[in-house]
Amino acid sequence: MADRQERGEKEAGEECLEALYRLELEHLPQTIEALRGNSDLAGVDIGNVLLELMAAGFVTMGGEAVRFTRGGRIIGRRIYTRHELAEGIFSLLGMRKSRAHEEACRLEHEVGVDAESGLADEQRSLLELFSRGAIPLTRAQEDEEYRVCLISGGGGSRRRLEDMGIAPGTSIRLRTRRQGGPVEIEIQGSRLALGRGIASKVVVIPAAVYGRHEPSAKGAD
Amino acid sequence: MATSQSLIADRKADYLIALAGNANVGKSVIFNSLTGLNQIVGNWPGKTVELAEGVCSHGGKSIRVVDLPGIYSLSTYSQEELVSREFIAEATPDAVINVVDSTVLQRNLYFTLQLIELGAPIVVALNLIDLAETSGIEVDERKLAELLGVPVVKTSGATGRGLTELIDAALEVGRVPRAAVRYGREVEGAIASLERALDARRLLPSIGSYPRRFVAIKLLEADKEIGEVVKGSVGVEEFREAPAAAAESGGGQPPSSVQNPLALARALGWRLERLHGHPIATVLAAERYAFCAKAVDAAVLTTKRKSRSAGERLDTFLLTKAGGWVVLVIGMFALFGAVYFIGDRLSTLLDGLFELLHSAFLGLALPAWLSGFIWEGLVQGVVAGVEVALPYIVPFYLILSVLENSGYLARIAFLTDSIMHRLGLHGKAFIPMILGIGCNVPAVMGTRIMEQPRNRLIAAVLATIVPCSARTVVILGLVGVFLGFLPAISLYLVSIILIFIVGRVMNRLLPGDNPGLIMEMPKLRLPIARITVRQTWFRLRDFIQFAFPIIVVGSLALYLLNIAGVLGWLSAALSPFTEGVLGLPAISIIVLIFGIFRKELTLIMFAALSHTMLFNTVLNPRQIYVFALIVMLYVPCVSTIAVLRREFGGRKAALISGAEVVGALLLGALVNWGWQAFRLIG
Repeated sequence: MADRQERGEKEAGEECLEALYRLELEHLPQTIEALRGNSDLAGVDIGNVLLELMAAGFVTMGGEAVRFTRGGRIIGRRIYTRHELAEGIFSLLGMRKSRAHEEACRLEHEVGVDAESGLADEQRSLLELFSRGAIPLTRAQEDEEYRVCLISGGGGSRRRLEDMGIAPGTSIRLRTRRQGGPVEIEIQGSRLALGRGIASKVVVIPAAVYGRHEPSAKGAD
Repeated sequence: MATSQSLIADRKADYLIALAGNANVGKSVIFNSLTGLNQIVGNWPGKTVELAEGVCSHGGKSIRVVDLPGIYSLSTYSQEELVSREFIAEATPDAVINVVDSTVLQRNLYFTLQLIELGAPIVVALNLIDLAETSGIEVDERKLAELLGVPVVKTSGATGRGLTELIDAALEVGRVPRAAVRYGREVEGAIASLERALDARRLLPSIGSYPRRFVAIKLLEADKEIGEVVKGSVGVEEFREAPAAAAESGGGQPPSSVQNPLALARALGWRLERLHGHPIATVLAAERYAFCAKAVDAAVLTTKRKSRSAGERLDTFLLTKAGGWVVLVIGMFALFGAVYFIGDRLSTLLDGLFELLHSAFLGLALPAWLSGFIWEGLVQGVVAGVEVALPYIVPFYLILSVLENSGYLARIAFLTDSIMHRLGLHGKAFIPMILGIGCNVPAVMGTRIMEQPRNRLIAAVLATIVPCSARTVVILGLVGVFLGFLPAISLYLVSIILIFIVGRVMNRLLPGDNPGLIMEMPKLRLPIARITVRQTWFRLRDFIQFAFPIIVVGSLALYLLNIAGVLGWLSAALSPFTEGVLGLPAISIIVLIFGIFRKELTLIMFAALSHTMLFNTVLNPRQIYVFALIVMLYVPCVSTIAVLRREFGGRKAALISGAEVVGALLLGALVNWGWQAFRLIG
C-alpha cells in the first residue's frame, strides 16, 4: 500500500515538472499560481509535491516563482516528450485531441491524490510559506538560525518530533548534513539526529523572515 | 486498567518515590546512588516495560524507589509512556523526582510541564549541574521553582551532590496539582468547557485518579487511552457521532446540549485547528515550548560563549563519512579483538579450573549413574555456560557500557543509518546487531530501543542471524582450522548476505512502514568507571539469572534423553535424511540437537562421539563446510529462543526458530548438492 502511495507521489511530482517545462517552453512565468491553474494538476496537493521536489533537489523556490534545477528540467523535458509522443500516436489512431490528451496523461501516470478540505487548507498554508522562503530542513544551510514552521505529512512521526522539541516556532539549527543520510540538528539546546525522510518533512524558515510574521500559536500569558 | 501492586510483592515501606525524566539525564545514576545493589527489575502488569525498583533508607524511614523509563512526553506513542503515567496516577507515589539535564534545560522542561499537568507531586532535580557549571550555564533554581510552582534542587548524580536535599524535598512535597502553563485564550476556553462536561459525568474511579484538567487536555489532543477510558464511563447509548458532525459543519459554537465529552472534545479540537492552522496537539506543544523558552530566559544565565571546542571538533570529525567510518571500523576491530583476546584468556583459565574440579569430583568415586547424572547432566551445562559464554560476554558488556556512556554509540547509529535503511530499519538497529556478535541474548533484549513493535521484530530476527561468539567458535575452530581462513570468511559473508535478504523480505511482507531515525545525540564525554562497572554487573546478573536455569535444565533433559536411548534412536531414524540429503554422518543429528543448548557443544559432542578432535579425519571438506553452515544458521540457542518468547510471545518465537531450522537445512542441502555437482563437472 505504501508502494501505491509512493507511485502516486512520484507521478504527481513528474506531472508538476512536466507542467513547469511546458510553461518554460511557452515563455510563461513559472509560478505557483500558474501550477494551480493547470487543469492537469487538478486534485493534486501542490504544496506537498513542491516540498518533495525541493527536498529531492529538482526545483528551488523564490517568492512565488518556481525554478528548475538542472536535474529537474531533464525530468520535466523527458515527461513532456513522452507525453507528446503518446498524444501523437493517439491522434494518429484517430482520437479526438482532447481525448488523446487525456489518455496520454493517464498513460504516464495515474494521479490519485485525495483532496479533502483539510488537505486543501494545509496546501494553502504550505504554499504561502514557500512564497516567503520556507524550505525543507534537508535544504537548510548549515549553522544558520531557522525557525520551525510546521511538520508536513502526519502520523506518529509528527508527535515524536514534537516530543523531542520540534514544534512550530522553535529555533532550529542544522549542524551536520550527510549526503543521502541523516541530519544532525540543534534544537532547544539538545542535539538530535533525524533520518533523511523525516527531516525533509520538517519545514523551516530563516529566523529573520520568521520574526516579521507572528505565528498563530501564542506563548503563555 | 492495571493495579498498583508492588513489583516486590511483600515489600513494605514508609514512602514510595518514582524517578521520571528524559533519557540520558543521569536518572539511573541517581537511582543506583539511592538504592545501591538493593534493586530488582520487574514488569508493570500487562506490559512488557521493565521497571527497576529498589529500597533506600533516609532519616530512619524506608523508601521504595521506582525508576520509570526515560521518556519525552506523556502521550500514547509507546508502552513506556503509558506505563509511566499509569504508575503515577494509580500507584500514587508520595513524590515524583523529575530528573532534568541542566545543560538541556529548555527541552527537558517540556516533560516537566506534562508531569505537572498530570498532577504528579514533583520535585525537579537539576541534574548534571556540575557539567552545566563548567559549561558556563548558571541556573537560578529559586526563580525556576517560582515559575514552575514546584521545588527545584540542584544535583549531580555522579558525585552525589544535592541528593540528601533532594530526598528531603521529596518527602515534604504535597500532592497539589497546579497548572504551570496557561495556554492561549481559546484553548483555555475549550479546556474549561470539557472540564464542565466531565464534571457532569459519573466518572470511573480510574479517571478520578487523573486530574480533571489532564483528562480535558488529553481529550482535546485525541489521546486514545484516555478516550477509551472516558468512553467506558459514558453510557454506550449516549455516544453519538451526530452532534460532532453538526458542530464541524456549522463552524460556530457547539450546541450546548452536547454534553458527551468525547464528541465535545472532537468538535472543540476541530474548531481550534481551523483557528490556528495546526493540529491541536501541535498547538499545545508549541505553547508549552514557548513557556519553556520564557522560563529558561528568566532563570538561566549562560556566560561562556559556545564556540566549537576541541571536543566538538572531534565530534564533527567522527560523524564525517571518511573520518567517522575509519574510526568506526578500527574501533569495531579493536573492540572484538579485545573481546576475543580477553575471552580466550578467561576461557582457558576457567577450563583449567574445571579440569581440577572434575578430577576432584571423580576422586569422590560416586556410583556411575549418580556421577554421570550430576556431572554430565547438571554440571556440564553450567560448565558450558561459564567456560564458553561468560568469558566473552563479560568484556563485551563492559565495552558496550563504555560506548554507551561515552555517547559514542549514538554516533555509530548516525553513521550506520543509511545502511540500516537498506535493511528496512534505522541507525539505532545497528546496536542490537553489534550486540549479536557477542551473544544473541542481549541483542534481542536490546531491540527494545526500536520504538515500534514491527521494527523491533525485524531487528530481533536479524539479530539472531548475526553470528554470535559461540558460532564463531565453531566457524573458526572447524572451518578456520581445517579448511582455511578464506572459507571461514565466506561463511561470515553468507550471514551478512542473508541478513540483507531477510531484512528486505520482512520489510515487504510485514504491514507497516519504516519510520525514520529520531535520536538524541548525547554529548561526548569520558565515562565514569564506577558507573560503567556497576551497569555491567547488573546486566551480567540479569543475563545469568535468565540464561543459566535454562541451560542447566536443558542440559539435564538432554542427558536423560541420551541415557534413555532416545537420541540414538532418533539419529538412526533420521539417518537417510542426514546422510542422503545433507551428506553428513548420522551422528550429526545428535550433535545438532545438543547444539540447541550451546552451539559450541556441537564441536564438543562431535569430538566426544567420534573420539577425536581431528575432525578432518572423520569429515571431508564438503562435510565440514556444510556442517558449519548449518550450525551457524539453524535455530538460535535455547536462551535466545527463551528471550524471543519473552519479548514477542511463544508463537513468533516458534515461527522464527522453525523458519531458521528449515532455512539452514535447506541451505545446507543445497550447498551439499551444489558442491558435489560442481566436483562432477569441474
